[in-house]
Amino acid sequence: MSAIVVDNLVFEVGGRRILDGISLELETGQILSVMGGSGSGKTTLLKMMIGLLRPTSGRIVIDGEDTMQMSEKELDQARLKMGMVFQYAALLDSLSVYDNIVFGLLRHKKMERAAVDKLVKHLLEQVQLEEYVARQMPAELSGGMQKRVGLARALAMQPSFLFYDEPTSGLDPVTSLAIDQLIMQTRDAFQVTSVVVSHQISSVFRISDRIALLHKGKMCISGTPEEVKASADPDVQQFLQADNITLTHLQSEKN
Amino acid sequence: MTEQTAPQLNDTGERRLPAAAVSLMRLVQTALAFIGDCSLLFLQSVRDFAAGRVRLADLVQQMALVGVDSLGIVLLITAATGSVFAYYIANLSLTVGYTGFVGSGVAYAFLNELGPVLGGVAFAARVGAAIAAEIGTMAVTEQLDALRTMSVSPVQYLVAPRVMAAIIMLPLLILFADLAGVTSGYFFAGMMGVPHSTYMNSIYSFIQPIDLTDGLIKAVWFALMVGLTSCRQGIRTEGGASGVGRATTSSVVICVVLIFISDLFLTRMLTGPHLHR
Repeated sequence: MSAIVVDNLVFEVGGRRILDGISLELETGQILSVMGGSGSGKTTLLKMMIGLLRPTSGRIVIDGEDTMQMSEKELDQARLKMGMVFQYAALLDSLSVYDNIVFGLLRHKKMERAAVDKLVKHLLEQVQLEEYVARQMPAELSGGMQKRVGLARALAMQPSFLFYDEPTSGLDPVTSLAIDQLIMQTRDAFQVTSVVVSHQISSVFRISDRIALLHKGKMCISGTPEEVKASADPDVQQFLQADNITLTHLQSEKN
Repeated sequence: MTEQTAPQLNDTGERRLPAAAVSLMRLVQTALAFIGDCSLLFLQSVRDFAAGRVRLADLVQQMALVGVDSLGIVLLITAATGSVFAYYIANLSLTVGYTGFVGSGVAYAFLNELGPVLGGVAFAARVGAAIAAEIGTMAVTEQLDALRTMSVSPVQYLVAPRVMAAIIMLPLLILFADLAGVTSGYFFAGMMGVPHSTYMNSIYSFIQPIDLTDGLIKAVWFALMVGLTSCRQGIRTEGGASGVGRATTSSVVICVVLIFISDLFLTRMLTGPHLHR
């Protein structure tokens, strides 16, 4: 049974079609990367998978349950198995890092203070942050550190599904690589099924088991990294070669 | 779009009428959406409280923020108004040679009207703006979405404690506001030549407990409106920093308008039965 099934998903706002007939499947423990240019509908798709937005039509089946048929209360229950890492971390800025990490967990579960301390320490280690960071406020952290705390917060709930919205955008190459490694380590350590929205081609090919490419709300291709690379679709090739073209163009201008 | 659909008859009358009708329809639509949102927030907050889902710690934290933060400005406004109000009444009373109504005039106006309305407006400016800005910032930085992904309802965590804290704290603030207004009036009337004993006797003779309770009923209603409006405007914020600015401004404007309009009806409803004492 597939862990995530998206079937003929359509989303319209004010008569404008944002997503048009998107279908995907993902097995347990796999990483799916959704690529596409700005405004292609990647984040909208991600928010639908976690139930923040309701599609106009189509089906999203997570762990065998059709989220379209769920009430808000049932969706809240289903979301306990999911975690999301936001593009700009979306940490609660009135709370310390410590309180952010355990916020969701302590809202749903009673725990001893010592156990909470131990968990926070463990999670910070996992996302390669020093213990003192727990006492800091989100505004005191760099963008990369905020994203790591966001990941630690998502992991605190021990999710079966993790959704990442542009986890490496705006980060330097070294931090991007570290975040990519964290995503892969998380998958390997906990068999978490992950969906990553990104438009960073190098990062996507580094971490993904499957890749989907969106263009103007439609699916161009969905397959393994090798299948995507080998695709003859001009939109796919244009997107994949965009990095090289830009680089070549800049070099020729410099010369 | 409006101009395309409007009949192109001539440059007067007919062309402006459809545009005005469209504007009116939009206004009604916006007002209905606002009332609908606020009603839903109210019902969800009541449900969360009834089910014991709102944490006491969240409520107490909000009560401290809401109450302590606005006490200074409320006292300043009401004390200043009490002084000026007493000055004018004392001046008039001394002119006609009867000062027996100065104390009761100040106290009657403050307990029934000036305390709740001035306190409510100060509360909307101080607390309502802060709530709208805070929740609005959370909305545009995806913090509200983050709450939902952790299966935490923003209404339960943000709205319910803030609305309840406002309902508890504004009447308490209004008690202090009434006290500040009447006390400052006492001193100013004294400076004008109204004997303190006359001022106090006037209050004892004419003021009844219902004057205080009517004012506190108004305070509860104003608190509910400020709490719901500012939370609603915050949650509906879109468009980054400028959106937060718009949400904050609109929250204060809507609250002030609602306070003054509802005050008209509340005054008639509450004082109607005992207007002629």
